[in-house]
Amino acid sequence: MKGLDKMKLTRQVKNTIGGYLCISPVIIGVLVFTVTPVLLSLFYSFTRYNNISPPEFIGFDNFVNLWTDEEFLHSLKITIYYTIITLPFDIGLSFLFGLLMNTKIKAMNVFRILVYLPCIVPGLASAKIWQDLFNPTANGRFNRILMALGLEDPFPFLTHPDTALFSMFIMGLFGLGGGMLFWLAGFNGIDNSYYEFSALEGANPVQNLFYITLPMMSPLLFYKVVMNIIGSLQAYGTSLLMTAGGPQGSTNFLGLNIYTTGLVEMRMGYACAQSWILFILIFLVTTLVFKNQNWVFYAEEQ
Amino acid sequence: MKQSLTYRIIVTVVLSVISIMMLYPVYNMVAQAFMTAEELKAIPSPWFPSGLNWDSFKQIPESFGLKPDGSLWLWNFLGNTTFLLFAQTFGVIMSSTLCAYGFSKVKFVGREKCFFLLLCTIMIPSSVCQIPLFVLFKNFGWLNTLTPLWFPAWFGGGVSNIFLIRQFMKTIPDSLMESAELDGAGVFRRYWSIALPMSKPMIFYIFIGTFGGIWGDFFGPMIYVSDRDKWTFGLAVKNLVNDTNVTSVGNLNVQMAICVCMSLLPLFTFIIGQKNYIENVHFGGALKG
Repeated sequence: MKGLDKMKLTRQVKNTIGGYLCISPVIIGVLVFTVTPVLLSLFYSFTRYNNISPPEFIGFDNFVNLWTDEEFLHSLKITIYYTIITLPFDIGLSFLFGLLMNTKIKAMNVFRILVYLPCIVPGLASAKIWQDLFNPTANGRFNRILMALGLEDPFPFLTHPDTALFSMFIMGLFGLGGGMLFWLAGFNGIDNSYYEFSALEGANPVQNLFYITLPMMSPLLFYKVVMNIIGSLQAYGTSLLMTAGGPQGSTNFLGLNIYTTGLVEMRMGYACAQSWILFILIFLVTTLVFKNQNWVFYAEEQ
Repeated sequence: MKQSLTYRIIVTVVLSVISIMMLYPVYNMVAQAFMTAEELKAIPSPWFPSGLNWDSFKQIPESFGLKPDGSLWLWNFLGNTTFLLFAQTFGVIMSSTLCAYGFSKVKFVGREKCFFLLLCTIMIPSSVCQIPLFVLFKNFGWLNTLTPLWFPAWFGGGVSNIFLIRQFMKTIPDSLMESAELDGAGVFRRYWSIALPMSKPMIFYIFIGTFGGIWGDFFGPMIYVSDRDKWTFGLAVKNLVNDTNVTSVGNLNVQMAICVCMSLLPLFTFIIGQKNYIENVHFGGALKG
């Protein structure tokens, strides 16, 4: 027995050392490329720093200034607004697409590929495509369709503060294919026997949806909501490429504002302070979602 | 699940409409790439190209500019991108699979706590790290090199990738690992000969995602790289094609041709991975535990 115990112990020691060795590259990476920057960022946010002279400590000045900075407040506002507006569409519509795509039709794979196709085009290219589609003159592609349908003046799309954000929202809808695949993957994971039982009970498709599909998908739904919020609050790639935040700051998302403040205008301390506001915002929202997850159904509990 | 014929007909019609709408932007890109400059400047410009005009494609290499010695810059850009595609993708795959293996198939003290802490870093917005990383890389002397773009990949791999591979590796039976252990296979041996080969589908999935991400990336290079000979293809395309002046037509057909070419690599990897992507994707119980 004693020998066996000893063997078990060395095995445990071996596994512990091996285990930590396995995760060590990533742990080192996280410490150097994530934790250190986060702490540095916190430090910089209390300083005035332009990358030429050393950081100069100024206490809470940056954070105080933020609340009178129209540009920052506006970008914070539109970031939150855009996240709230797009979330139900991103998730609801892609779920609907997924449901439709889950029908048993011969040509289904063709539909799936076609709907996913816009997601294959790199962001750089689709920014160009959409800039052209959104051409604000009467010769623009969309404008010609809209005017043929009875619109009198060309729609300004990205060139007017009132319509720029809406245009980006429309463009975003063409990326739903990715979400659709996510849901299809989820549907595949549902054991078919659930549906076989419900068929025996004479359930209709709507009942199937509400009593089987949705509850079974709720953990994925939860995951998707959290990831979408986190992603959406920091997204700015499209506006960087298409409008540079304009016109009049109407698409100047917080991430873009942080980038331009910090790495273009080189007001690094001030940009770090802004990024911490974003961090706190994400943290609060994520905690809020995690606290309200009683609607999520985990099969193991039953 | 049995579905009635009427339902299937309605779905087919609805999906056809959606598909045509979704396809239109992509069609427009290809159509404009094949148009002549005259066609694009015409008012109203046509919906369809008059023919397959390959001139715009032929102009691509030179549109990226010539070096003083007359050779093409394009090869430099593509060379840099190719280097990154390999250096970065392999870094991501090696570090993420090894880490995921540690978190799923090696039993050690403090494993779950470490994993939870790692998951928490997902909440940290990249904006927070952006400026300190810039300063950090500047102090390392890495500015204006490609190092900041690929080196961290060997020590990272992305939390979501690690999460996905971990869930996948969890489905590998423990008995397999234990019998290998009894046969004297050490931790790394079990990683290399069991866990890694068995996770091939997931690795493939992550490979394609990472590959596409690097190919289309312009943001990293834009921040860290300034000299033209260090530009990646993505950065060069961004500087050539994307300006925020929405009304300029310029040589739109060449720009669209570049966009078409840029979409070809992701399209190619998508076609290869199509079976995995479209038909067989499932989480295999990934999010249940």
